Amino acid sequence: MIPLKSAKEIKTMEVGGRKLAWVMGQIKIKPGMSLKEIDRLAEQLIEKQGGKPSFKMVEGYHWASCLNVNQGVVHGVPNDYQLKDGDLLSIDIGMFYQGLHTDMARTIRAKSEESGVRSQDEKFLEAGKRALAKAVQAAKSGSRVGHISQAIEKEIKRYGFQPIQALVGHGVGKKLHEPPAIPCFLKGKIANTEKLKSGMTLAIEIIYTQGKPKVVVNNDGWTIETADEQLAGLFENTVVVTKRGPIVLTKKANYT
Amino acid sequence: MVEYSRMIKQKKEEVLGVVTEALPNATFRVELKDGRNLLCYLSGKMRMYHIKVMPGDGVRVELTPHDEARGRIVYREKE
Repeated sequence: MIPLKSAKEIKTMEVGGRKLAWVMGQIKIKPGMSLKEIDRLAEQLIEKQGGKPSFKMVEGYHWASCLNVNQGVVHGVPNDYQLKDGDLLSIDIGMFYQGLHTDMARTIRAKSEESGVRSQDEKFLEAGKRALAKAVQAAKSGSRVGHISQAIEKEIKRYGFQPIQALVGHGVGKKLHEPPAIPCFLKGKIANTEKLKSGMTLAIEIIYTQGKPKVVVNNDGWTIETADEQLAGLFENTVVVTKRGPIVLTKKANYT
Repeated sequence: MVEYSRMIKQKKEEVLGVVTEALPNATFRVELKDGRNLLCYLSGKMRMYHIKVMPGDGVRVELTPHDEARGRIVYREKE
């Protein structure tokens, strides 16, 4: 059963989501920074906002964020690796605020001031951002989970990249992972997937790669990488399905 | 964090070695390039396609993080 959130819970997640978006926006990376530094920064910022790092509440995981470099896909354990110029870093953070989790992720390039823009990487990142936007649009009350999956798959493939099949987005709220599972590709008929209703809070994740979708887990038991060592990207937002359409919760406040 | 929709396999290391001894049941003693000596078994695919492996052959061995002393022969090099 997909849990529905009350209006009060949605308001709390709205505030939490804004705080998380602020944290994400504050993390600027440069070549030379170590992953441990970035994780520590994320943790400090989360606590500054009055929340707790959600990932530390996961059994066996002791960091505030998942940091994945280049062919790293998800669940990268922060270590002493120092970012090189041009590295693609995927940052995934979750924040537990007043009893509810919000989850978001971005992939960004580590570049020094002088380095130019590498157009293939820009295209790769653009694919993920566009897919996330389209996926969010598809999360309408009355549509189905399959519509979201289809939107992700279509946009990623349109750019010539591959969605990863072994990893999925998820419902989020009282627990970090709740039903439904939201794959990045459509398997079977849309009609066989769950219907979306107002009050559902979903962490929609775009997980994709330049190469083949096969992934393997490292010897540390957490870090997941592409088997063919091609670049991988990750974009995620927490959204709430409402009668008037989907609303992104992990977005910075609009100051008018 | 991301949820898993299915089990994700462990990353396995692949190394090169030379077969030193042929033992019963498609098992072989292999000396790896780095000097280690392993008890290896022939992979099912190689058995299925009747690929013969003999002492002196160069082979590729798949190592598992679970047991340092065993390996799985996945390829016989052509010389």
